[in-house]
Amino acid sequence: MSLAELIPNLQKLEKADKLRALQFLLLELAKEEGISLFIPNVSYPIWTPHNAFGAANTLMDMLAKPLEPKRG
Amino acid sequence: MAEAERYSFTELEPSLGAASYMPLLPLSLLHNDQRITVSALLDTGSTVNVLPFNLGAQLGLAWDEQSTPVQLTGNLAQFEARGVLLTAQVGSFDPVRLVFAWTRSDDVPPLLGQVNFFMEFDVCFHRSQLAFEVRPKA
Repeated sequence: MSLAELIPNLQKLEKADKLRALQFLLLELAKEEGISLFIPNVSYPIWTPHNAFGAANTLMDMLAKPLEPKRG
Repeated sequence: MAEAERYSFTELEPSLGAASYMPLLPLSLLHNDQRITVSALLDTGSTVNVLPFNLGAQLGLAWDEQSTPVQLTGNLAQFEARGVLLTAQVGSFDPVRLVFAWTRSDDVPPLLGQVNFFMEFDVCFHRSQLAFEVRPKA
């Protein structure tokens, strides 16, 4: 499909899908160029709860309790 | 000793190439009569298992009925969490009890951590082969 054929279809997209199309093209280009999308000096959150020893003790205590009878 | 089951790493972001492969384990989580299948991240750096809010809701968990508050760390420290006990089934292995910190956040994937996934299962990572093996504890 040529760009001339594609453009009318792109124009019909909802705003959110236009943004997704932009994102798709960006990722495709980055992949082709071998470019990493990690940007220096930008924070990327890590969700791992590291050293959550209080949480671990609490959850271990839950495991140690006798099983409750099944409801219903 | 049960035979290990082998799984492939999952590519999370093609634009990042080889760096984006992660060990995601498919498993079933059960609570009362509700059962869901999830892909959870094997996270050896996580002290505990973590269940995102929406998955707990899908399992029929009621937030106000969970009476054990749990304080998580790092980026999850800002969200309330409560302890929940679930039954989990990995592959063809017998179901096991897993305890989770059920967090108010939906930005985190389900995490399998030291307490108590890695207490119940032995895992061998073959990162160079993009594979890992899981077997129940002996």
